[in-house]
Parts: sequence; C-alpha cells; structure tokens
Amino acid sequence: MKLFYILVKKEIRELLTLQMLIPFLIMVAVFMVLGNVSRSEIEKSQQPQKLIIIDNDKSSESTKLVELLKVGAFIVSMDESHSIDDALQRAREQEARMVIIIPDNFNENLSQLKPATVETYSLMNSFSFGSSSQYALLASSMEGINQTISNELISQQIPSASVTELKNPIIPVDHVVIGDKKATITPSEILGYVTSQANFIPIIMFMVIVMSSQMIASAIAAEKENKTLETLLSTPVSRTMIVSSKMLGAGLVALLLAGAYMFGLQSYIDGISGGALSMASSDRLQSAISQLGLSLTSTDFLLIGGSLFGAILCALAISIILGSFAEDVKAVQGVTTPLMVFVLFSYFSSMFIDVYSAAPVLRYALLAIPFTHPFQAIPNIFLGRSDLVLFGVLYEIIVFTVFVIIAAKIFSSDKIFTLKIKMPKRN
Amino acid sequence: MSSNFAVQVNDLHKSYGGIVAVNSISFSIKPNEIFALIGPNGAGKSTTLRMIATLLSPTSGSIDVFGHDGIKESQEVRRVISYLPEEAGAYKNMSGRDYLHFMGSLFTQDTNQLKEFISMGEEISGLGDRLKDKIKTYSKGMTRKVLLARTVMTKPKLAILDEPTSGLDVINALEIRRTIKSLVKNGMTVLLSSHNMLEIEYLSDRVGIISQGTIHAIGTPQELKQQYNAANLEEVFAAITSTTK
Repeated sequence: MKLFYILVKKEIRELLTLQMLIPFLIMVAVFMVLGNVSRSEIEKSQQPQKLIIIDNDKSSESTKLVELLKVGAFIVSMDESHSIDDALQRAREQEARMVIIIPDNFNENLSQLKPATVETYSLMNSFSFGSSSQYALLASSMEGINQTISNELISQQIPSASVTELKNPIIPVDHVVIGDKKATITPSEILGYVTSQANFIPIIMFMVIVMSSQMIASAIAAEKENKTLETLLSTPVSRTMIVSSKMLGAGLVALLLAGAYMFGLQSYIDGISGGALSMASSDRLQSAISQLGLSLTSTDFLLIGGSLFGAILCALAISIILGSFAEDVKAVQGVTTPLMVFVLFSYFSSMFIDVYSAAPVLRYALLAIPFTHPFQAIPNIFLGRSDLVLFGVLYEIIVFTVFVIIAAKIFSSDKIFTLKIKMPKRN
Repeated sequence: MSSNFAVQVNDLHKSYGGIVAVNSISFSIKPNEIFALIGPNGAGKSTTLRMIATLLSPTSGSIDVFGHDGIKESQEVRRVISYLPEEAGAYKNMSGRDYLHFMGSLFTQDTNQLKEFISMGEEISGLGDRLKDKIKTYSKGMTRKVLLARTVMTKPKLAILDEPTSGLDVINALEIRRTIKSLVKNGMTVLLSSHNMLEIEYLSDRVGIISQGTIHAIGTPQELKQQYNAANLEEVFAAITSTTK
C-alpha cells in the first residue's frame, strides 16, 4: 500500500508542475475577474437610469405617465425645448440613455379610447450585456404603465366590472405529472429547474472526463519522451500497480483541476447572470419540486457519483492504452481524439436527444458508449428510472475491466515500447 | 538451470516483424564478473540487455538470472537486477536526492535500508549539494552519474548497464568506470554493453563480440587478443567482422 502511495504521489507531482498550473490558475483567475466585472457592470446598469422627457401634451394623463416612470427605476428630467435634437444633445451631456416624447394628442387619444403613441429614443453607445438590461428596463416599465392606464380606462368605462377578470377570462392552472406524482406548476418552470441542474452538472462531468484522459495519456507519453519508462518498468513493482497508480494520480489531478475550473466558471456565470442559476426561485417551485420528487437524495447522489466515477475509470483505462501509442507529449492530443469524439457525442446527445426513445440503432450505439450513462443519470433519476442508472454503472465496470486488462497486457509486453504514433515535424 | 551462473542465455532470438534483431545468441556470466557485449550500433546489444532486464520478451530461447526464469519469473528477476538504459532519463522536476529517494523506495519499504540506499547513491553520484537541485538543471554528465548511482545503490545482484559512459567527457567516463570496478569488488555482477572497445578492455573480465544479432566470439580480452593475434579489442573486432561479412 505504501508503494502504491509513493507511486501515486510521484504521478501527482509530475503532473502538477508550475508550467501546467500557472496557465490554468491564470485562466481560473480571468474567469473570476470577468465574473466580478460583469456583476458590477450589471449592478451599475440596474441603478436608476437618467431619462429625458419632452411632454408636448402637459395634460393630467401625460403627467401621470411621467410620475409612473419616476416611481420606476428612472431619474426623470423634463425638457422644455420641445426639440428632439436639443433633447438628444442634452441627453448626451447628462449621460442619459433615453429620451421620451409624449405627443400633444396623448390625453385626447386616451379619452377617445384610441392608442396614444409615445416615442422613445435610445442612445446606444455600447452593445454589452449590461447595457441591454437598461433598455429592457424601460420596455418593461412601459409595459407596466400600459397595463395600469389600461386598467384605469376599463374601470372608467365599465365601473361595475372586475378589470382583472375582464382581462383574464380564462385562468390556466397547470399541473405537471411525472410518473405517479403530480404538482401544480407549469411545465416550463419544471423544465427550467431540471435544465439548470441537468445541464450544469454534465459540464463538470465533461470537464473531469476530458481532463483525466488528457492527464493520463500525457503521463505515459512523458515517461516515454523523457526516457524514464524503461527504468520504471525494470523495477520490482508490478505493472498493474504502475498502471493503477498512474490512473489514480491522473484522476485526482483531473478532479482537482476540474473543480478549480468549475469554481472559476461558476463565478463567471454567476457574474453575468446575477446568480440567476441559483435553483428554486420561489416557494411554489420548491413545493412542486418536492411533490414531483425532483430533489436528489443521498442515494441519488451516490448513484450519480458512481456513474461519473465509472465513466472516469473507463476514460482513464482507454486513455492509458491510447497514451501508449504516443511517443511524446505532443502526440497526446492526436491519440486521444477518438476518445474525445465519443465523450462529445455522448455529451451533446444527452442535451438534444432522449436516448431511451431514440431509434434502436442510435439508442444502442449511445448506450454502448460508457460516457453516455453519467450524462443520463440525473434525468433518469428525476424520471424514476434509477434501475437504468444502476445498469449503467454495472456496464461501466465491465467496460473498465476489459480495458484495464488490455492496458495491463500492453504494459506487460513489448507493445508499450513498440506502439507508437509520432506527430510529423513541421519544417 | 544451474545456479552456478549469474546469467545464462540460451539460443535467444528476437525479431520485430520480419526484422531479426537478435539471432540465436548464447552466453553465460559468472557471479561477481563484468561481462561486456561489444559491437557496432544496431548489433543487437541493447535488445539483448532489454530482454535480460525483462523489458522485452524473447521470440524464442531462454534466459536465467540467478536461478529465475527471465520469461516466466520476470517479477522475481526484477528483484535481483537493476537496469540502466542507454538513453535513460530522470524525472526532471525532482531534485537528485528526491529521485534517489523515489527509486530506492521502489526497491525497499524498510526505512533504514532506504536511508542506506540513498546514502550510497549520494556517495556514488559524487554530486554533493547539487543533489538538492532539480535534475532539469543538471548537465548530461551529472544526470548520468545520478542514473548510475540509482542503478547500483540498491545493491542489485546483477547490474545491467547499457553504454554506461555514453556521451560523457573523459573525466566523467573515467569516474564511472572506476565506480563500476569498485562495485564488482563488493560482490556485484555487471553486464554491460559498449561500442567503446578500449573502455571494455579496461573494464571487463570477459567479452562477447556481437554483430548483426549474433555473438561471434566470447573470451577474456587477453584470450581474444591472442586468438586473433591482435594488439587490442578494436583489432579483434575488425578481424571478426571482416571474416563474418
């Protein structure tokens, strides 16, 4: 056991070099900085916006519109020049982003139950995500004001009627049924929740599988390139122990790097979405999730973890074989490409296809790829198909065993020295 | 197989596809002896050494190392040998000392014995405080010294040294030859290869002259010189290869 520990420690030490860590840490730091910058920009864009209004009507209704905009997230400044060019010039000087013109027939039209036109000039000086939310804010404010004025007009015209009932004669009540469980919620809300869980976790899975494959193939190729493999294989350490220590070392480093990478990515996504990815936005949704059994229990996590672990083991076992073909580290990218294609195929299929209802050939082809199973694990658990997850784990164990036997045979034979694919040198 | 020999090789063949690298070679090495295989590049020296070091499987023939079958008991063989490949490298991100520690720990789990190995390795390498530095900062000669120290510090019964002084300057090569000589005095058996005939004449008790995968003559340097009426091993080699062409 101590010998195994020594070998794993050596593998980790060889993989976690400063040359490898520095660019990686820079990338994580860049993600975090970008996230923070985006967050502060979005927060800035959500501050009250400066707005210039030309009120050509000066009626009670137009004043009401101005007051309603003031109640919203706007700092309103009235322009008395009645010239759009002058108002735009003033907006530029005051760094206001919008100018609104209320026409002189505003009140008249409303009183005659005709639509009144309100023109908006948006001064665009940026196309960033943050600036888009500023323009969206005005649009949503105008929509709210429209509703308020509409409600008032209806009340004036039909005093006896309930405005809400009149405007919504049909009240849809949505129920979602999963298996034998029901909840009162819209399908889009449930889809939004499941997608946020079932899409984000597979990114982590994808990263871990890809990184661990690259790590182990590089570890083998580096031993060949640095001419240390022959020395290592001539020591009285069993080849199985050498292979397994390389696998564990690469797996641990990949897990660590994927964790750090996801931490950076999460900071970035949180920054641009303002934490929009946080689950369960309302009590109603929470309650529905619970009623539908869409929250993961510790057993579910164990199954998902087992499925991911099985896929990582498969990737490591296949990569150690592929790494044996690489004569140097430069060739690693090339030899691991077939594996990457399969991982990508599984990943994208899980996003766009329901594997279990796909055509038989596609279904069996996808299920034959061990990496499909972890990507399907969460949807399967949510849909009450835990037995399929368990079957996937068993299948992964079989695939892993087969490839480990092949890897051990390669390491115990001449093939570890004779298998080679060298990338052509560029002149 | 008789255990009177440290190594016995019988009718050994190795081919890669249609290419014959080693063709029916047989020789034996006595315990506490320095046996050298000499020959030009591509003669089959390294392939023979790699088969004895259990890295390559023979196409046919047998290898016995201190009573262990080199094919069926490769794990046992690896316990009594230590191999220095011609183009060996070391883990560049480790210091010289850490490398000796790592390699030593693959041979023993006993802390005291490991300390003994490292101490011996440090002494043989002769690098002193430079052992604290990373191997990537070493010259070729320094790296080769660490590698040789690593090979012999575990006191293997058989040290297999492929071109031990390859690429080294005169002083470093001389130091390494002296080290090998002294190790044999302490009971080690050495199998080495070289294409430097003068080095072999100085170092070896017995010599096997190999060319095109076949051993053409075996004997002490003195015997071979007498047999071929030659002044040195280079002339012996020239005489043998001219008759075999």
